[in-house]
Amino acid sequence: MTVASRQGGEAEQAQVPLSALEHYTYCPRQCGLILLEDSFADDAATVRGTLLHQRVDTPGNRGRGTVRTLHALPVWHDGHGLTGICDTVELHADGTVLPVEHKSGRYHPGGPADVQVAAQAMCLEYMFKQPVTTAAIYSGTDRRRHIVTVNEALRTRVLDATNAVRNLLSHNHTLPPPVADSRCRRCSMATDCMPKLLAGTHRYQQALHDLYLLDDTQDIDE
Amino acid sequence: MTTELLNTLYVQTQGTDLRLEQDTLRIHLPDTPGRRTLPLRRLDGIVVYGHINLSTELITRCAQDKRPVTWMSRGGRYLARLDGAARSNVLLRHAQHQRHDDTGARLGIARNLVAGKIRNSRWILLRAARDAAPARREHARKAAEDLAAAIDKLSAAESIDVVMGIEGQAARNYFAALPHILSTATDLPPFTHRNRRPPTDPVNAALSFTYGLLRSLVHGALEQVGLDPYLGFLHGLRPGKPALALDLMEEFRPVLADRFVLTQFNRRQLRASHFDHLSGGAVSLTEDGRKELIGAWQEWKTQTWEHPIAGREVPAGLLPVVQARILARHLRGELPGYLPWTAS
Repeated sequence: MTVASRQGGEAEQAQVPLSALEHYTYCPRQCGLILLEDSFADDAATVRGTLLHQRVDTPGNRGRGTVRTLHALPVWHDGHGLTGICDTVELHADGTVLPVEHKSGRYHPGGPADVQVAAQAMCLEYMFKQPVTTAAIYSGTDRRRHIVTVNEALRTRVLDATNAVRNLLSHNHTLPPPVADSRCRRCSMATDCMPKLLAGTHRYQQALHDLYLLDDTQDIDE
Repeated sequence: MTTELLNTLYVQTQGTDLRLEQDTLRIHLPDTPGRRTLPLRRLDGIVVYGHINLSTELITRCAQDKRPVTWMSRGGRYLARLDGAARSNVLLRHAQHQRHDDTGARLGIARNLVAGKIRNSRWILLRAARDAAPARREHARKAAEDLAAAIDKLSAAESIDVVMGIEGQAARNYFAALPHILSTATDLPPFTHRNRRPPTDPVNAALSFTYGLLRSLVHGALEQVGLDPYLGFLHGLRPGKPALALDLMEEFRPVLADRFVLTQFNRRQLRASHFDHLSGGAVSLTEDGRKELIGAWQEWKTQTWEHPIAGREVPAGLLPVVQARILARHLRGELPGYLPWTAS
């Protein structure tokens, strides 16, 4: 991939989409398939997510008491090369900025969504020039907000994932290997990814070899 | 949406008008009153033959939903296809070009494609031989032996030209045996060998038409996976020739197309009355014949087949997509070779 250079000759780093951080944290290969192979497959869960997001994806701001609510807000962080869109950002009267990420499924503490919303918090810090140490994930399943503390450990996870995704995008175009575990059963991209087939290398090799062998005892019926 | 096998709408009544009405497709047949609509989400593709009108709204909606629209000539020749915004899987296409330039890699893929085709041709002959009368059985088994020898020779083929030569000879042996598989009590003029451009007997006419249906299926599978249908490994490059679609068709021709056609004749679904004999000798399907064949094809696509390496049953209509994915994984260096689908 060509890296655009600035006037000073300093190479600009590839921008990493916030959503890719979540995908990468869930499964590096899923992220690779989306970014490198331009493949995305919908299933019931992703369609449910899309429908849920229709409510929050209309840009604009709405007031609710002392809280100003912004929807579909573009955010970025030039230092880390992050860019994306926040479902909801709340601006409280006391000056607090709170990103709220909407998820249709259940909330898994410490899961990929935490990384995504923490990255949003870091972008908002950069844009509003003030600390954002708390973020929230709204789960469509239990219709509840779950508070995420944006601490150092989580920030490190964000930066590690950012570097890994950037590496995938700009240098290393090889797809990460499939995880081939229980995650695949719930993954909408499993048919495209073919985790089982890729994991069974020996069986595949054998089948390639057998292509030129004919076993006639099976074919001719007695 | 395309991973699920939905219905394909085939329209061949000349002068039909198709338009978009909300989320449904409105069909207006000439000279036939009445309101006909189909929900769009039940359709995974639209194939039109000859003079059919599609409204711009309908075409753009299909492009948006990645629901392909395929245009065929009235007689069933492939003309064009609309797939919506092109898949921008440039890394896969780049890998496809790189593999094409690598003689060894190209030979490996071409050889396996042909091995798959010959294995499947042989499978058909052996299956048919089981139920055939002794004299016919001998013919079929003899041809199957020739094909076995071809597979043996193929494993040592060291150039694409040699692979092509083996493929050609195997195809001649195979088609020479096909008449012995056709049911005897038939009112059809004899089928002796494969011919096309134009076909001169009903069996060849039905084969040609079915190859058109199969080609649009395979071409679509390649587009869906993000491969370039025009850059083939076995078939040479020529402008306007979808060489990779022709490549990937090879392994499916015997089982998905030839066997389908034989079944239609053997079951008397297709009869002499379904064919027009044009002056000069060309033979083509009548509108009724095409309707019969397309209806049966639609059903045939839902029949499932064992996919040995995927370890599951796959509907015929989705086999090309599965194989296109396996090819893509090989081209991206994730699988050590291309493994064709073989019937069992």
